[in-house]
Amino acid sequence: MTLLDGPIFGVAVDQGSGLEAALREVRSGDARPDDLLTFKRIVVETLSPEATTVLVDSTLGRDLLPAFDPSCVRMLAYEADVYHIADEDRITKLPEDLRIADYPGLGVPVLKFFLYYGPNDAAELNQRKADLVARIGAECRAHGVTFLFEPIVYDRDIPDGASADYARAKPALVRQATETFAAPAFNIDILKVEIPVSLAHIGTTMSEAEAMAAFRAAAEPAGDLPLLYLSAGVTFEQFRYGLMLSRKAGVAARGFMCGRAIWSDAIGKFGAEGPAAMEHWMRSTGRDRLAQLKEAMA
Amino acid sequence: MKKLFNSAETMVDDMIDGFVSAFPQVTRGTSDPRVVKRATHVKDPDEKVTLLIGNGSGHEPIAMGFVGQGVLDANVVGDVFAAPSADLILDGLTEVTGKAGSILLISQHSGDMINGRAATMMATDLGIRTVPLPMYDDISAAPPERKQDRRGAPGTMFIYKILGAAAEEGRSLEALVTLGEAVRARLVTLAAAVSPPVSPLTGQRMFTLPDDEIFLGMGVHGEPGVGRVKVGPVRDLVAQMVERLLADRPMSAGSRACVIINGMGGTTLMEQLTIWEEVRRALDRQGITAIAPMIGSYVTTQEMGGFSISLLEPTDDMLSLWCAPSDTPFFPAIQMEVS
Repeated sequence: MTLLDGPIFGVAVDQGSGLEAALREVRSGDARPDDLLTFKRIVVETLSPEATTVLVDSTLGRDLLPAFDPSCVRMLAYEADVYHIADEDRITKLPEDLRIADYPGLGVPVLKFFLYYGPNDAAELNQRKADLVARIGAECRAHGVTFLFEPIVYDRDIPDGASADYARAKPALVRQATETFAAPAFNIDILKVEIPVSLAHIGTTMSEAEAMAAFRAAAEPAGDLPLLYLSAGVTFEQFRYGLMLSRKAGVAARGFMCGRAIWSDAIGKFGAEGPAAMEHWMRSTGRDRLAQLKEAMA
Repeated sequence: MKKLFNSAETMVDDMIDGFVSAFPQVTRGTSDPRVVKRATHVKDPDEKVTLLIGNGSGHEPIAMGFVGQGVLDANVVGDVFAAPSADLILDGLTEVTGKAGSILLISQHSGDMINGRAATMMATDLGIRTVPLPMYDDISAAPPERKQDRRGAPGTMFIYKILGAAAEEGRSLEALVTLGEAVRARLVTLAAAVSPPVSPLTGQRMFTLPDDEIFLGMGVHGEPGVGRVKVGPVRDLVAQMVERLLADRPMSAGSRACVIINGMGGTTLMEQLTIWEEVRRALDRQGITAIAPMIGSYVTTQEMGGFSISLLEPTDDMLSLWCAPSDTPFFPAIQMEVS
């Protein structure tokens, strides 16, 4: 199986400590040590038959591989804990017990690597980040592993990601990141990028027409490199709207990787009514949401 | 805090059951029970532009109370304080839109905007002719040079009513959108919060306020305002609010201002009438004539104490439409002249 031939409608459930804390909070007195694994297993079991691929994390992901539907491409994150960064440089920590060389033996054809990237950061820092991405890309190439790279942009001068100032800056940041990592030297096979506009600011900070222009401008440097949009913690409604806008803008994105926008409401279900109720919710509402996101890009 | 509901799961639908059984002007939609639409004097949607809005419940009587002849054609009712989904709004658009098209009014709050725009996009894909019209008027949410960043507040009722009356006359979609934008440009609102509401979902107060302070500019969900003032005679508070409103959108001596005094749910009519009179006097001191007032608790947040003042400098056309007759469960008759 390969991801590179057709549309990619992916589900991400690679969240680690943050999701674990959320589950512990909602489960309260009923919390169990294996809640995080149970939650993820339910997501994989219920959505992998409908998804092109499902992304799991390096810590629990290997235990989740047997739960994949045979039709679904396995994707394993190459990070110690997603969004867990070492220091102010925001360089992703790599897993200590997983090598890229292990992927083929695990039956995992796709590696995903995430990195915070500030286009306006110091050149020296960005060179170190570029070197890391290039090294991972070269290793993936050497081992026949498909490399999906996910740059999450930021600007140190605009710390409030919800602000109007950031909404104005975001399209250029996403475009710059795409432009940088589309270079063949990185051996990236698929780019997973943010929706290049702050959806909550459409109609205020920017018009819908400006938002669509930003979609086109941000996607253009990708060239022939497959582009996926990630949901980045927005709600299902917001993400679906973002995908609709990309389609209306005429962007030929290959698909999406969606996590919390599909299953975040299942956290409350898991906490209040337990795993069986969550599974029921995922088989109905979760699958319905995935279908609606596919439709939004159709 | 005690609340009189059957359950959190059914409270919205129980309320709509009561609403549609109590008032002959409204009925449930056939596409979804959360769509409330006109039941009487319904005009051909191929001839008349339809107006609808989606909003979270918990703020009644807005907006379902304004469904009826001369105001709204439909309201899509969301969960408590939550925007209705794009699919639900699409159900409403599908149900009431004809060849004349429809305007989806959106009170500018993030969830409402995103879901409303997504619904509009889906409707367009289905060949439904609809235009979203964002409504914003709260001067505390952004300065005048960034008016488009403001949130929707009770002054948006001017837009509902003026467009509703104009649509009833048979004006075109394009003309109505232009009129709606013109009303929005002439409209300002400022609120004052006195005491917090209690969420019907949690039974808890939604924010806290010191006993001796009033928050200026707080939104209907407790969004941050622009300042605090100590409790004192209401004339001082009103004078300060009118001053801010006129500083934001100046009106010259000799002009007229339509006024909405909206109670937030826990402020009495006795207080609201006092506030109206102080607004009228404050405007009069600037040479501005207050006319055609709408006074009452129409955009509420449960039992929240407080009120808002909205001013519209109308054109003759807008004033005529504002005062035009309507027949809805809760929109009042507006008298053009005041004594």
